[in-house]
Amino acid sequence: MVGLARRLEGKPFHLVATHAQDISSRKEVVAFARANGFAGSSPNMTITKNGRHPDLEGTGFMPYYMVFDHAGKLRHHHMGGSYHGGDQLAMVAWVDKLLKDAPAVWLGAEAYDVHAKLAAKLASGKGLAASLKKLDGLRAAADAEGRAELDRLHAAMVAWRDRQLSDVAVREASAPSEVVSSLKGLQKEVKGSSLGGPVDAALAAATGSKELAAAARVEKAFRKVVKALERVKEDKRTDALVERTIEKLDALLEEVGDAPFRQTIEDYLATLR
Amino acid sequence: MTRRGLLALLLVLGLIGPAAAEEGVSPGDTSKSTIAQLQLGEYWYGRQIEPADLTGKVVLVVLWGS
Repeated sequence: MVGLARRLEGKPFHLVATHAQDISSRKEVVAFARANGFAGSSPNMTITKNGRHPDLEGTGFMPYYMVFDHAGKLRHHHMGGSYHGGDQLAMVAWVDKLLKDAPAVWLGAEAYDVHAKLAAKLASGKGLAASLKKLDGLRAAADAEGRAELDRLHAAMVAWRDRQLSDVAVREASAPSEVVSSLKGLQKEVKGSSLGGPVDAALAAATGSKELAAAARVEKAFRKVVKALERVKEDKRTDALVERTIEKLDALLEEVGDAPFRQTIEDYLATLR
Repeated sequence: MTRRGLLALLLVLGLIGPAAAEEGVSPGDTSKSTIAQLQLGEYWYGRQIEPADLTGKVVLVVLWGS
């Protein structure tokens, strides 16, 4: 599951793993998840306790999977274990299949009428800057009656932009060195449109942030330490090598202080201890 | 014991319902089930989300235990 979520980072996908037994504490569950690569800084993974869907009963034989499409409809649900008649990893194929139909930009469940063509172009996520400028122009020229649909489209694009900004903020914990480039990419997509203000402000703040620059330096050192360890096959790693790696990572924890990237180092340490 | 035999035993013991025994799925009509109905539960780890954050995305929910 973790591998799937990692593969799909940047796509309209989210993994919710909900722990549904009372035999383990939060601390134990989180430690298990971290040791298996479930990073707290991941933008598209969440662990909860006792989540459920009221329409599903008899889900006691875990794992139990539910797959929802981008419109929110439950499209597949099944037990995982083959010993319960489960389909094991079939949900991965479902996720891949449903992603093919998921728009890059979600514009809401309600269809567009007069401006369906512009909406389809925006939903594709391609050539956004030009389409957004067109949207602004149409809104400015429209009368009250014609403006309602355009306002709905604009509101959906504002929500998309805010979601992008939120995703970039999460990246500060996983890859601070990529924050500025991600914001520059977003700035390019909304350039010249009414959506640009908050993106420009976020980019200016990130560019001038000493804390972010310091975290990016620690990230670089962290990648180097991890690379050195992972060059050695797992079954060839000596205790001394792992111990030295832990010491280096502990030193980086000191250096990074309370910056969000601390989470990534702690997650990796959890896989070693 | 074969898989079918095990499922039959579990069914007799009342540990699983007939639909689950037959197909490995929860019984009941889920043709109109949506993510809006999903109860996320108590946040424990990873990205903090609200149900609204999941709209427009393909979502995989895994119920698990350990």
